[in-house]
Amino acid sequence: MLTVALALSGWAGLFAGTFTLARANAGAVGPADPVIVRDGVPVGVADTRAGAVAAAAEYASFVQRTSVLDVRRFTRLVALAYQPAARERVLALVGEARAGDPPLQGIHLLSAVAAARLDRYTTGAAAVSLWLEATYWSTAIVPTQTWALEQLSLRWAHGQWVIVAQTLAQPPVPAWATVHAANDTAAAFDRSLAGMAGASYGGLLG
Amino acid sequence: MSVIAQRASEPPAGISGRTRAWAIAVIVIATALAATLSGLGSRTIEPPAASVIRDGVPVGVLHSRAGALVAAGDYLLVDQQTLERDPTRYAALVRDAFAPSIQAQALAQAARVRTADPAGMRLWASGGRSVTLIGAHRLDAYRGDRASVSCWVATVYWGAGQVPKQAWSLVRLMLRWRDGRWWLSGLVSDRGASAPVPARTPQATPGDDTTRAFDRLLAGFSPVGAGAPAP
Repeated sequence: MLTVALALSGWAGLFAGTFTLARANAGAVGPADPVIVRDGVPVGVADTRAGAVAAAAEYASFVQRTSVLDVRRFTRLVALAYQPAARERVLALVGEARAGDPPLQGIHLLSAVAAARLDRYTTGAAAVSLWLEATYWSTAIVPTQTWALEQLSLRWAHGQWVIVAQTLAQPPVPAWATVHAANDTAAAFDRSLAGMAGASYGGLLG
Repeated sequence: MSVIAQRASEPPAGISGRTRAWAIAVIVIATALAATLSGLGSRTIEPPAASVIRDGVPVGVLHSRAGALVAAGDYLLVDQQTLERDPTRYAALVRDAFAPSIQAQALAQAARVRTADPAGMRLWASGGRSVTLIGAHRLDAYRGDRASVSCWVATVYWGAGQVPKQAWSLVRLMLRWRDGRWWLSGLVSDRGASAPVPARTPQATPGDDTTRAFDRLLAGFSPVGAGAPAP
């Protein structure tokens, strides 16, 4: 019997699982990629220390990007990467959270994995801590940044990593070095980041 | 189900009171699990490795649009992490990933940057830390043997005498495909002048933006990605 803790929050705030995996951050190392794309979602398929870190980063960032803004892809992730017994509950919780959110039209969200730590790795199980960042904005919401510190517990089952627990901790939040005038407006974000996407897995996930 | 965290943060402008409840709440579900996974999906993409590690630095070896994005991101991350802090590894990056025509110029410029930033060099010498993250990227152009990629990138740095700070910039990388790999042929940074910076960080509290908090909470963390220390 295991316990899953799925951390979710409304999207205007502390969405705990942040960021895109900066897959650009996580360029493939070695002859085989530790993560594949199945039905449009990432699946960690390398039972190694590095593979566990890559899987956790991909899962966390994908949850961050899709749980509120892309229900279909999030649902696919749940089907592929969460323990079966948790799936229904996870989807119900996210649906409930989504109902409490403001209209999502026109909202942009970018997220990234800043750093990771392999807390535990044994045969068939791993725990990875992630420090994540996300920024969102719209015409009605000024560009707002959130940070998260979370730990994903993974189990190796049927040739892939599966999420069995997700827990949160208070994240460290850095101050700003410099802010140039007018660079912190939604218009500036729309202009400067037009066409940009989260640096996700090999550019395949969009 | 229980609410395990609630933070004293204000909602962004335009957010309703009802939404605020969500904005400040983190919901945690504890669910008993049985275990096994079945019924995997049907359409699988197993991309070849986009990068390999050579001399401790990533080298982009996937000749595709996605490969160009990965190469640009990996090169940028290692560039940002090593230019001041690890000149030896930076030199390896230049040797293995920079086009030969710009290698001498890149090394000379890096030396000038180190000379011009004594405070930064003192920070690294005293054990200062930094983390680089790519917030977003865009493939600006791709023509077979050439590509250009724009990145929105942040560096977070802290250490003794340096409170943790984040600095964002927009960087454009030009790549050329030759001899089975992507070579960096140009890199242009706005040095933060035009990079967008979020207006609000509602989570910020006095306790979690100190060097002590960063050292404690991020102990043992490493950058994610190619060229990062093996976990």
